[in-house]
Amino acid sequence: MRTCPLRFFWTLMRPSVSTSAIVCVLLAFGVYLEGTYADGFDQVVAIALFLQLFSASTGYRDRLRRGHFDPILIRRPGRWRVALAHWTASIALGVLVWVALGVIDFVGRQGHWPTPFTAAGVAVMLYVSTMVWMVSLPLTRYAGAVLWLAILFALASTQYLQALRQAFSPGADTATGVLHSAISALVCPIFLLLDPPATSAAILGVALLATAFVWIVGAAMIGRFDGRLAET
Amino acid sequence: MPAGELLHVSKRLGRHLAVDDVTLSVSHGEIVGLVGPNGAGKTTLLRIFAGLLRPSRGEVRAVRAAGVRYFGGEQTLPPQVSARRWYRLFSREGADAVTARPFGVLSRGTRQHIGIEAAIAAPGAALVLLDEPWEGLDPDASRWLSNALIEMRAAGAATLVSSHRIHDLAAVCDRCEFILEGRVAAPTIDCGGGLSVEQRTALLFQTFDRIRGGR
Repeated sequence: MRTCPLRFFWTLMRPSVSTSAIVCVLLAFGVYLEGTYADGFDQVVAIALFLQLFSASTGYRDRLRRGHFDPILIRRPGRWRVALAHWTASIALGVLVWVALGVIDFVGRQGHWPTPFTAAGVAVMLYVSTMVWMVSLPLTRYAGAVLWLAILFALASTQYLQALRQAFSPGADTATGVLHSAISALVCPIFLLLDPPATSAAILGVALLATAFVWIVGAAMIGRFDGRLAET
Repeated sequence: MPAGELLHVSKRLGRHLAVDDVTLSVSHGEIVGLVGPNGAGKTTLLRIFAGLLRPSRGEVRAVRAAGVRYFGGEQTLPPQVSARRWYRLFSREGADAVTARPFGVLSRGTRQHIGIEAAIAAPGAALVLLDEPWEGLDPDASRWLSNALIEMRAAGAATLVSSHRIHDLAAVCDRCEFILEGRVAAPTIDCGGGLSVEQRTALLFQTFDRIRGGR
């Protein structure tokens, strides 16, 4: 029987009971807000993005060196295929929650296009998921989320985050404006959700290019990791 | 023709030369034992055979990846995963008889037993690589494993198995290779030739003592 890499990684990374409970609470909160204060629905979207920081930080090398991936790696699937399967399994839960929130908002508010389904919403989810996935690959689980939050706290405490916010202009149309806005958004992607419909295609293009670049770096890392077991 | 072959393979792990110019082969319908003290390089050799480690030097020839079965020990099983779900990754048949509890709460011997069973469950094994498979198994499970190895040999599988359990190796292996400090340290010991299991065991112990300098 041949097991495909995606099924294998999903079996290893499927959400725990506590994670499933958190997801249910979040979706219930989304439904509640939709019914009571629909204009505040994007709070739930922001929380989902925050949780995805942790959910997609699955780590790779640590588990590789414990031998957890041996059964799939002895089948010698291409490393790009392994990377794609690992990335998909890592980000799947967050993406499903994102889509579910979009559906809740779509059904609840007629005539309003939900933030998760805007181009900016899609770009921010892909970028955040892929970045924390890649950063966690050589480290341990949650490392990507912790490092990114640490950087944001450091920036906030030195006023640089405020400077980035001022540099971010969703509708920037000059090259310099797009560059500054894109850099700001790549450091603090939540800016992209401030006014999603107004975010220029150029800024989103840079975010998606950055996502593709980060993914390729991650896949290359997976190809280079050695299957040496950690000392136990 | 060998099902798996290492030709002058060396492997450096950091600054440590874990495998040093090893040439080794295992043919279809044969069980080969790897004997050596802890840290001798047996696990590294098996992982090179399995394609999990790239050799620093030398060549690896092995059957198609689909025919390779490998188990690196119960410590390589993910503790949070249900044993039944894990088993289902390899075979649907027999999965319902496996406990649904996660590996982390099972005893070491149970993890080892389920891990080996899952690894060899799928039909079509051509090259079987097992690292310390008898470790932690109770007598019933040990006997089951030895019988399973003999059955796979009869079906034409090539098996390479490392173990400290000399008596178990002597009972199933056709020949044994001794590994010390990453090298083949003694001529191949033929475990066939009409010797009893006790005689083979004694021969393997003698060779082991000799390569260890009588310690």
